[in-house]
This record gives sequence, structure tokens and C-alpha cells, in this order.
Amino acid sequence: MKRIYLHPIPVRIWHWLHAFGIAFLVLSGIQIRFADYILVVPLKKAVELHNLVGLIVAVDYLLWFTFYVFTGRIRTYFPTAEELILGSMRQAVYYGYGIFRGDPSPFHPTPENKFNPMQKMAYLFIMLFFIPIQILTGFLLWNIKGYREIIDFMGGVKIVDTIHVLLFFFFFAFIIAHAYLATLGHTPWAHFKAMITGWEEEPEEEHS
Amino acid sequence: MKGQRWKWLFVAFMSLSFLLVLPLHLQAIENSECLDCHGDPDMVKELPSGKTISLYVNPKKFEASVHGQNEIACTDCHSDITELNYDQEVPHPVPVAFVNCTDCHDEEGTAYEESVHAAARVKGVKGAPICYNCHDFHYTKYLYGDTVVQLENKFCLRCHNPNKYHKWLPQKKTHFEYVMCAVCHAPDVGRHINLRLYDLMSEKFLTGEEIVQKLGVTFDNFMDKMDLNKDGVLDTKEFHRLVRELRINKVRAIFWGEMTDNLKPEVHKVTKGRAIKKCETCHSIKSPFFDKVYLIFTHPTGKAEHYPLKRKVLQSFYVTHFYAIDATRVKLLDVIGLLIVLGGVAFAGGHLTLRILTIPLRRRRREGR
Ligand code: HEC
Ligand code: HEC
Ligand code: HEC
Ligand code: HEC
Ligand code: HEC
Ligand code: HEC
Ligand code: HEC
Ligand code: HEM
Repeated sequence: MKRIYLHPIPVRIWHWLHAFGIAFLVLSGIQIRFADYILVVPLKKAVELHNLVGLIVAVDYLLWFTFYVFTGRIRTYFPTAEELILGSMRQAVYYGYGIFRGDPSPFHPTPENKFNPMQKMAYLFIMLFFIPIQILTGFLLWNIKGYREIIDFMGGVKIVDTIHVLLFFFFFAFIIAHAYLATLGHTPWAHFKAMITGWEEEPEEEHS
Repeated sequence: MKGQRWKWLFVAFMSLSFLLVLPLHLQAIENSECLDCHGDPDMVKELPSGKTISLYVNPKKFEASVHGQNEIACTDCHSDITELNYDQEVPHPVPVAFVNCTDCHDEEGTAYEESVHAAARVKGVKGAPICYNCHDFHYTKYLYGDTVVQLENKFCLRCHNPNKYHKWLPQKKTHFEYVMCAVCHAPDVGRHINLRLYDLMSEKFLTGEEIVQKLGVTFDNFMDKMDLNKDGVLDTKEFHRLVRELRINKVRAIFWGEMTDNLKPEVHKVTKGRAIKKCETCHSIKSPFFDKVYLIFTHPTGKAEHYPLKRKVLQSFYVTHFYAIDATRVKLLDVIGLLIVLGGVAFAGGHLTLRILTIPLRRRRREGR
């Protein structure tokens, strides 16, 4: 067994704050949008909590962004030209075929290069586009009268809300897929443990 | 010629009635007589305290008011003045009697009597309003054409600062801009949604006249032309056609939506402790508050046409600048969303199933090695 220190403490704290934050925003978002069908808490409470956690996630994102940009770690999110096509294809074939046969993963994380090419592309889009857009539209919906000019510029409150809602559905689906993909380590709990302890375990390769 | 005789009889009867009514009419005091004196902008009265108050009534503005438009005479309101006696310095009794608006507006009077404002007045609270503290008296306008913000500025905001209350309400300013105070505070009045055409560039509402002119219709045949299935309401399809017509005729505007009261006497029954507080009353796709929707075309008189629309129009992407959570949400979006989420579930579930099904395969491979 090989042990690699993949996730330093700030990253782990950030990740779990973020994960619970987004999961909570999804849940309270369901409550807000579908209060007609399921009313676990009154709409008023759901709105207040959603706004509070939304603010926490926004600050949290800002911390992440400054940390990653200033330490240069943001580079781990950018796929190289080779990874962009060949790498992702190799990874896709592994997930769609090799993994069932028991082939070894074509990708081995190192602290400098944590993500496989598919992860890189997914996370890049999410962290640099979807999350910021979700935060931005959230802030606009927070004070419709105050931000009226920006909202009008974007085509109206229903358009801003539509973006927010479509991304909400995306995050909903993403959380499910993300949690599932996390079970694809060498044991189902391996990746989860790594995100808690920081250490990723990897089986030694028999041949390489 | 029997028919002919009847005709003549009719004419004779009409002439007779006219002659009978005429002298009564002549006796009534014409507005112009009052305005001979009160139409002078410099007309003031000096109070014992030395202060002066204006006794001027602007004839043009009075003419344009609801009462002017409806030929209500000065003496219909100042009904204690029955004659002008020019021998005296002031040709009528002074002080003039208190004007009772409720002589003509009795239903409003009844509703007002049950309001916090009437109660406060009875208790002697300073500043508690009667009819004309809110409405003005000589220059009252029709209210149909007013937006929520205009109504609030005209009425409630002169005396109340709603930001001091409503701590429980998120986005107070947004709500006050789109929901008229009386919707919550006079819950008996009933309410509806108004849509108006608003030009974002000039930041102005288009007047009814501008719109009809550009569309090449009239106020009266607008509905006829747009309501294809003649059910008296514009549905989403017909609304789509209207949107297209507007675009073809270069009317650049968005639909400004707002929730306002029904302009019925009950609007005056502002009560304490009964105001609407529950979010779900409005924020629900089942909320009846969005059942009645009208497209508003204003007349220069201050009146306005209310063309009925189906509620579904609010739930379409033709109305982009008005959105109340849940109440006007686009259902198609939820279908798309369901597909996205199901996609995620199907991916995870499918992959997991395959992973389980192929366990023997991997075991065999490991053991075969
Ligand atoms: C000849 C001039 C003249 C005419 C005509 C006239 N008024 Fe006046 N009016 C006055 C004067 C002068 C006063 C101020 C009395 C005072 O000093 O209290 C006055 C005062 C009033 C007041 C205020 C009284 C108060 O209680 O303070 C009203 C209301 C009024 N007039 C209504 C009318 C109406 C209605 C008519 C027409 C039917 C009319 N006036 C015609 C001269 C006129
Ligand atoms: C809709 C009813 C109504 C009509 C119509 C009306 N008045 Fe008045 N008028 C009032 C009321 C109410 C007051 C205010 C009394 C008060 O302030 O106590 C008033 C006050 C006045 C005053 C006192 C000065 C002031 O402005 O407070 C004058 C003068 C006057 N009216 C003249 C006229 C004249 C002249 C006409 C016709 C052109 C006219 N009114 C038509 C309701 C009316
Ligand atoms: C002599 C009868 C009469 C008196 C007195 C009278 N009004 Fe009116 N009022 C009318 C008529 C007629 C209309 C027009 C109604 C219509 O067109 O629907 C009207 C319309 C109005 C409107 C506009 C309603 C709308 O539909 O937009 C208001 C507001 C109003 N009056 C307020 C008052 C106030 C305030 C007073 C007392 C100062 C008053 N009226 C006194 C006859 C009267
Ligand atoms: C607290 C302020 C206030 C007072 C006091 C008040 N009104 Fe009103 N009135 C309003 C408002 C607000 C509306 C509705 C405006 C809207 O929604 O378009 C209205 C509407 C009206 C209308 C048109 C709607 C209808 O009922 O047909 C009339 C007429 C009217 N008021 C007459 C009166 C009379 C008469 C009195 C005195 C008994 C009075 N108002 C007192 C605020 C007031
Ligand atoms: C001319 C001033 C004036 C106008 C205009 C006015 N109000 Fe009031 N309002 C008062 C006064 C004075 C009281 C009594 C306050 C008290 O009892 O201490 C009051 C009481 C109230 C109350 C009860 C709250 C309390 O503190 O008792 C409500 C609710 C209210 N008004 C709503 C409205 C609404 C809605 C409108 C607009 C349609 C309106 N008011 C227009 C003066 C006004
Ligand atoms: C979404 C509904 C809603 C709207 C819109 C709204 N209010 Fe209220 N308002 C309430 C409720 C609920 C209370 C709490 C007191 C009650 O139950 O009467 C309240 C309290 C108040 C009070 C204090 C009354 C008291 O009992 O102490 C005033 C004054 C008041 N509102 C004025 C306004 C004015 C003016 C507007 C319009 C600019 C407005 N409100 C808009 C629901 C609303
Ligand atoms: C009387 C009806 C009414 C009540 C009660 C009401 N709202 Fe609203 N609310 C509206 C309307 C109408 C809008 C739409 C404003 C717009 O188009 O921007 C709105 C807008 C909002 C928004 C902005 C997002 C959006 O939908 O555009 C939020 C958040 C909100 N309401 C929350 C609440 C909460 C929480 C409560 C209860 C404490 C509440 N509302 C009570 C009518 C109401
Ligand atoms: C990934 C995270 C998020 C998800 C999944 C999410 C989901 C949702 C959903 C489903 C709605 C209801 C929309 C409707 O019914 O039309 C909503 C509303 C809203 N969201 Fe979010 N959201 C997220 C992040 C944020 C953030 C970061 C903020 C603020 C900074 C925010 C602020 C708002 C606001 C203000 C509303 C309007 C209702 C309210 O005031 O609560 N959201 N969100």
C-alpha cells in the first residue's frame, strides 16, 4: 500500500464546508421551489436559511478562489493539451469498460496533479463557471429592487431565476454523481477517507 | 299613420320635459360663478393668527379631475351654498359646511368606518385621515391608471414608513414595489395582477394611446382582434401573437407585473392584526392571488382598459420581469430539471448495477492470474 498526502487541512475543511453548504442549498432550494408539494419547514424559514448558507458558501468560495489563485494551485484544474482529448478518452474508457474488468486506473494522483483529466474538466467548469454564476444569480435574487439594473440587463428576474434553477438541477444531479464517483476508489470508502484524513491509499501495482 | 303620431307625441313630450327642467338648471349655480372669485390665483383668506390660506381653485385642474370630468358642480359638494347673494361682501355663508364625500360614495364611507383610520380618528389621534386627507378634494384623479408605486406614494407613504415595520418580510423594498399595501392590509378587497408595457430605455410606461396607435387598433376592437377563440380572455397562444405584433410594430417594451387591489370600496377597510403575513398565501402555484390577470392600457383621463389574460401567461417566458417564487414558476423548467436529476441518478444507478453484475468477472480474473 502506497500512501500519498493529497489534501492538506485547509483544503479538507474547505471541501466539507462547501459540500455541506451546497447540499444544504440544494435541499432548501427544493423546499423553496416546491413548497407546494413538500413543506418540511415553512417557506419563510427555508428562504432565511437558504440566504444564510448562500452567504457562507459565497464567502467560502471567495476564500477558495484566493487561496488557489495565489498559491498557483489553480493549475491543477487546467488539463494539458494531451490530457484534454487523449487523457479524457482513456479515462472515459476506463470508467465505461476497464473498471468492470478490474483494469488498473490509468491515472495516479500526486499532490501536484490530483485530478484525472475528466475530473479536471468537470471541476474547472464547476468552480470557474457554475458556482460563481450560481452565487451571482443568488445575490441578484437576494435584492431584486436593489440590483434591478443588472437584472434588467440580464433580461429580467425570471431569466436570472431560470439560470439559478437550471444550475440548481445541475448541482442536484452533480452531487449524486459526485458522491457515487467517490466510491470508485480501490475500496468504496477510500476516497472519502482521504478527504477526511488527507491521505490517499493506493494499491501497489504489480507491474508497471 | 299611427307611427307618425307616436313620433310627434314623443317629440312634444321631450320638449315639455326639457322646458320643465331648464329653469331648475338655470337656478343651479354655475361653476363659473364661483370661479369668478375663486379662480383668482391671488385669492387668500387671512386667519386671525396672521397666516393666510389660499382660496384659489385652479379651473383647468378642476376640470380635469374625476369630478370635473363627471360634471359634478362646486355646489354638489359645497351643498350648503344654494344661492349667491352679491349684496354681501362674501356672497355665501362662511364658514362653509363640512363636505360629506359619503353623500355620493356611501359604500366607501361604510368600509372606511370599519378601518383603523376611522377608529384612530374617533380616538382623536392626530393625523388620522378622512377621505380627502388621502384623496385630495378638488383635483381627485381616477385611480385605474396608477401603478403600485404611484398609489403608495399618493396614499400610504405620506404618513407611514413601512420599513420601520415588516421585519419578518424579506426583501421589503421589492415587495413594496410589486405589492400594494392594501393587498395585505385590506384583505377583504380582493386583488389581481396588472401587466403594463414598460420601456426600459426611457424608463417610462407606455400609454394606452401609444400602444393602440402603434398596433393600429382601437381600445374597443383590441380584444376582438387579439382574442382569436372569442372566449374573452387572452391565453398564452393569443398572448404570443400579441407579443409578435408588438415586435413587428416596433414597440420595444417589457411586461411590468404587479399585484394590486381591486379598486373596490373595501380597500378602505384597513385593519389592524388581520394583515396577510403567511408567505404561502402568495408564494404558491395554487395561490388565488394570481388568478385574475389584466393587461392595462391607460386613457389620458386616468381611466384604464383592463384586458383579461389567462394566469398561464404569467408562467410563460413572455413575462420575464415579474416572478414570484412558486406562484408563477415555469413548469417546463421543472420537467427539464427532473430529466437532469434523473440523468444523474440513472448514471450512478446504472454504473453501480454494472459494477455489481461484473463482480464475478473481476474475481475470476484476479484468481486466474
Ligand atoms: C364674490 C366672490 C365670491 C364668489 C362668487 C364665491 N365666493 Fe366663496 N368665498 C369668497 C370669499 C371672500 C371667501 C372668504 C371668506 C372668509 O374670509 O372667511 C370665500 C370662502 C369660500 C370657502 C371657504 C370657506 C371657509 O369655510 O373657509 C368656500 C368653500 C367657498 N368660498 C366656496 C364657494 C363656492 C362653492 C362658490 C360658488 C357657489 C363660491 N364660493 C362663490 C368669495 C366668493
Ligand atoms: C368633490 C367635492 C368638491 C367639489 C366638486 C368642490 N369642492 Fe371645494 N372643497 C371640497 C372640500 C372637501 C374642501 C376642503 C374642506 C377642508 O379643507 O376642510 C373644499 C374646500 C374649498 C375651498 C376652501 C379652500 C381650500 O382649498 O381648502 C374653496 C374656496 C372651494 N372648496 C371652492 C370650490 C369651488 C370654487 C369649486 C368648484 C369649481 C369646488 N370647491 C368644488 C370639496 C369639493
Ligand atoms: C355629488 C356627488 C359626489 C361627491 C359629493 C363626491 N364625489 Fe367622488 N365621484 C363622484 C362621481 C360621479 C365620480 C365618478 C365615478 C365614476 O366615473 O366611476 C366620482 C369619483 C371619485 C373618485 C375616483 C374613483 C375611481 O373610480 O377612480 C374618487 C377618488 C372620489 N370620487 C373621491 C371623492 C372624495 C374624496 C370626495 C369628497 C371630498 C368625493 N369624491 C365627493 C361623485 C361625487
Ligand atoms: C387611508 C387613505 C384613504 C382614505 C382615508 C380614503 N381613501 Fe379612498 N382610496 C384609497 C385607496 C388606497 C384607494 C384605492 C386605490 C387603488 O387601489 O387604486 C381608494 C379608492 C377610492 C375610490 C375608488 C374605488 C372605489 O371604491 O370605487 C373612491 C371612490 C374612494 N376611494 C373614495 C373615498 C371616500 C369617499 C373616502 C372617505 C370615506 C375615502 N376614499 C377615504 C385611500 C383612502
Ligand atoms: C394622512 C395620513 C395617513 C395616511 C395617508 C395613511 N395612514 Fe394609516 N394611519 C394613520 C394614522 C394617524 C394611524 C393611527 C396610528 C395610531 O393609532 O397610532 C394609522 C394607522 C394605520 C395602521 C394601523 C397601525 C397602527 O399603528 O395602528 C395601518 C396598518 C395603516 N395605517 C395602514 C395604512 C395604509 C395601508 C395606508 C394607505 C392606503 C395608510 N395607512 C394611509 C395615518 C395615515
Ligand atoms: C406582504 C404583506 C404586507 C405588505 C405588502 C405590507 N404590509 Fe404592512 N404589515 C403586514 C403585516 C402582516 C403587519 C403586522 C401587523 C398586522 O398583522 O397587522 C404589518 C404591519 C404594518 C404597520 C404597523 C401596524 C401595527 O400593527 O403595528 C404599518 C403602519 C404598515 N404595516 C403599513 C404598511 C404600508 C404603508 C405598506 C405599503 C408600503 C405595507 N404595510 C405593506 C403586511 C404587509
Ligand atoms: C401578498 C403576496 C405576498 C406575500 C404575502 C409574500 N410575498 Fe414574496 N413576493 C410577492 C411578489 C408579487 C413578488 C414578486 C416581485 C418581483 O416580481 O420581483 C415577491 C417576491 C419575493 C422574493 C424575491 C424573489 C422572487 O420571487 O422574485 C422573495 C425572496 C420573497 N418574495 C419571499 C417572501 C417571503 C419569505 C414571504 C413571507 C414572509 C413573502 N415573500 C410573502 C408577493 C408576496
Ligand atoms: C449550489 C448552490 C445553490 C443551489 C442548488 C440553489 C438553489 C436554489 C433554488 C432551487 C431556488 C428556488 C428558485 C425558484 O423557486 O425559482 C433558489 C432561490 C434563491 N437562491 Fe439559491 N441556490 C444555490 C446557491 C445560492 C447562493 C450561493 C445564493 C446567495 C448568495 C443563493 C440565493 C438565492 C436567493 C436569494 C433565492 C431566492 C429565494 C430566497 O431568497 O431564498 N442561492 N436557490
